[in-house]
Amino acid sequence: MNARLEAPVFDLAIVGAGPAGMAAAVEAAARGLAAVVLDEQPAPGGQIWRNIEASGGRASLGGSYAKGAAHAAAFRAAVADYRPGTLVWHVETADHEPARLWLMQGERVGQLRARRVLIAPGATERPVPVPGWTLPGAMTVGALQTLLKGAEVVPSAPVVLAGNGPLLYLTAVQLAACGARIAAVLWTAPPGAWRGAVPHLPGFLASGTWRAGLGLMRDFRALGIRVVRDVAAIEITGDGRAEAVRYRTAGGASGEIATGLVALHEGVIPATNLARAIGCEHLWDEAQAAFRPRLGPWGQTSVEGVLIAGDGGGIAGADAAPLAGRLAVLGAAHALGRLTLPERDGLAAPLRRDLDRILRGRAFIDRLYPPRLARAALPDAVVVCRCEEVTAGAVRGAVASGAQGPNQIKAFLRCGMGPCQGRFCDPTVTRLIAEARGVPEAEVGQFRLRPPVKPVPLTAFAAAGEEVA
Amino acid sequence: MTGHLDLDAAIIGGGTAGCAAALHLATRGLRVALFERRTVGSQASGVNFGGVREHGRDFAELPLSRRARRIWDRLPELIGSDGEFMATGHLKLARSDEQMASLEDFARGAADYGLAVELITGNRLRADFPWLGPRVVGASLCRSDGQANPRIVAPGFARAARQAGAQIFEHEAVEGALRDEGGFRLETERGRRVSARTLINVAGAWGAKVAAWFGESVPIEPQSPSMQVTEPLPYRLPVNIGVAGGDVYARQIPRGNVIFGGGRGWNDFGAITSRAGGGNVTQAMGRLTDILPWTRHVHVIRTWSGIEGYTPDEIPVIGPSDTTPGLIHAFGFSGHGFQLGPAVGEVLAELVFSGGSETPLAPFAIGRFTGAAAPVGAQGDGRDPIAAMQQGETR
Repeated sequence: MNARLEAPVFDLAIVGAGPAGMAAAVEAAARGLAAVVLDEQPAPGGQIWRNIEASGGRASLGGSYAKGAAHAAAFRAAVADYRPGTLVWHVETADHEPARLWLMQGERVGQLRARRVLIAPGATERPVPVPGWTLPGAMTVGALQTLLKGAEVVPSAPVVLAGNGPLLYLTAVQLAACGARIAAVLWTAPPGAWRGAVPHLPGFLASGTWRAGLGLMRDFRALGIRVVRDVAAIEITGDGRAEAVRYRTAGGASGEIATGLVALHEGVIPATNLARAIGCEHLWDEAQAAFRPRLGPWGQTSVEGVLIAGDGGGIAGADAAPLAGRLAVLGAAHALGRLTLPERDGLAAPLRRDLDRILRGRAFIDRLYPPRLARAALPDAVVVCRCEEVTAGAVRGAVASGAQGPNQIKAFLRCGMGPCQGRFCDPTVTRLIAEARGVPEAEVGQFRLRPPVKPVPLTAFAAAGEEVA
Repeated sequence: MTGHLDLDAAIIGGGTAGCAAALHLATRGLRVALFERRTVGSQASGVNFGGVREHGRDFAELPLSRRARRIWDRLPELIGSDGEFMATGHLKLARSDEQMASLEDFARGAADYGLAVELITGNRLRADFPWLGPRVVGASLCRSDGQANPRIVAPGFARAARQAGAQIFEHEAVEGALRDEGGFRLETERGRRVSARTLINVAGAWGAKVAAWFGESVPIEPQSPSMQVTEPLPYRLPVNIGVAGGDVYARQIPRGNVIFGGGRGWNDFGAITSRAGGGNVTQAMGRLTDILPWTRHVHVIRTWSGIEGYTPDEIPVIGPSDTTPGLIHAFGFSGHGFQLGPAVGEVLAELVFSGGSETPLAPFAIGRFTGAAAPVGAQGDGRDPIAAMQQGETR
């Protein structure tokens, strides 16, 4: 196939134009690297700064959102080859050869090659499977926020938010500022969590992120929203759609709130699908209760030439991501012979100092907001894999009949084999197997992923080989 | 995890054939153990297309394939699961008059083996299969064929074999084996020492490697057929579809996903990894939209592959070794072993017990590659070396 030979070769392909990807593009331009930025979204900003250019950093979305405008402007000024609306659905790697990236832009498939691939995929919400979570009217807090930012859609009926974590506070404040009514927050962080967090307080204070955090909590309190604390279990009920949410606190109190809209959230986890499809090694991060890629100091994965920066490499937030993105580019520039070692290290030193300072604050947040519903005992009847409608009971049954790991669960039950390729069930399946076998999640591992990373139209596949313009 | 195992039969390879052989040998009271380097059914047996088809086979395979087809009906009683087998029929399409002629030739020849194949052209083709694209000029239909879920068949046989008393060792590769006066001695990657009177080589794409330990050289080429699956669609494809020439094939499961294959992917034989992809795979997708135009705007949600061993004549090696008494081979199924697997297990058990099989195996003799003459007694005259070993004799 001629196109295979003709696919252009870049120094660096940056996948994702969120905080890490945008900063990486700016750094790549400064270092004279021939870089291309490939992003699924129609505009730069990623999830946190979605729609930042068009919205002008709406005040109702707060200061942490407005910050994105400057990043996006710097990105626009620096980037030479930016391809929005482009899905990278497969990356083929080989030692000592440029990687080959398979792209889809609209209905057209194409490819390009790059000596280094920097993946900046960001985070995805941790699935929170509870009874009733598949009912219409049950969604995630992140999805609510996406509608708010991207389309200025505000729920008309009162919403119940359930879970914990900074994003839940933030979204509550943003929703309220946009005129939404919040019936209640069912807060799942255990009141004793602060005890585990306190040893990490000095790092948190040093990180500087406490100012934003404190401001956010003050704004949230000022809303006067009803908060039910120490919620240990919830159930979303209704006939064909969400009509109410029942909760139970650790202290034994229980209640029911009538609502047609329940938004769940227990933190975010690295979006690892592309990295795993490429074959990058991942490890279990106990503090964040999630798998993340094993990374070197310059974002290097276990696969030669493939780098990761930002929350996709471990949750550290939007202040850390640009620094990690720039460091990865400096490392790549040195590896490609564009920077000497002293140049690289000189440029990196201030970035690494800032990054280390921010990272020191992370352990405090991780311990203050541990996932609870997402780690609680799951009733057999709850659907785990939404695409293939596989229940927790079916997964446990498969383990009982000999399945040792996620890939056998997949083979026996088709669990994780639907269009989402396990995005919504992967952490839950691993946890259920670990619980049933009495072994750590690190030992159980994750689904082996197969290209395409996201569904690709057959016609586009069939036309592969044409270069995307 | 070391230890010593004294066996009647050791089996190398946890595909369907190996697991089925373990089941039949254990059922008849033999001490049998199977060694699989990964998990049972993790390569060709478990990740293939899932076609259960006699239609279009090399006539040399038909007697074995006919026998296999009877077993597919009995899977629930044999292994406690039907393997999601459904006798949906297999429709083989012609996209030219020459291809139609080849389908007619097969249909005539198959009749000699008692296999019913109908030829369908003209208005009836459009009336019966309105979802076919205009390039299809004719087809042949084998109603007794069907499809099954490959991921659960080998594990099903393994489970039944365990229940029958066989030992199945997963994640335990056999690193070497040799024949001495007392029988075979094997050593596994976990340092386990095994002695066995009979050794069964069902190592798939790695079968030639095992054969080479005993001085038999078979030119096996490892290849990775590319498989793709679409998002679920309304159920409209009631038969398993192939084409003359074999460059694309498709089936739809009741859940709605269309599974299709065609073209070869990439593999790293040494690292035991494989994946779909490459230029000829995208061509296969074009062929699919040619024969089933309604798949045009469908999304592919996943691709996969596995590693399968292909022989030069694309029919397997099945039968006793020419060099080593007590060694039996069954490998090199060349991309169409899934349907045969359950029968190969029975044949292997027959070879162990009687030295021969009721199913003709002459076309599968290893000697066609190694140049050796067919071994005396290969059709079970009681003087076969394996049978002799079973009777406690040594040569």
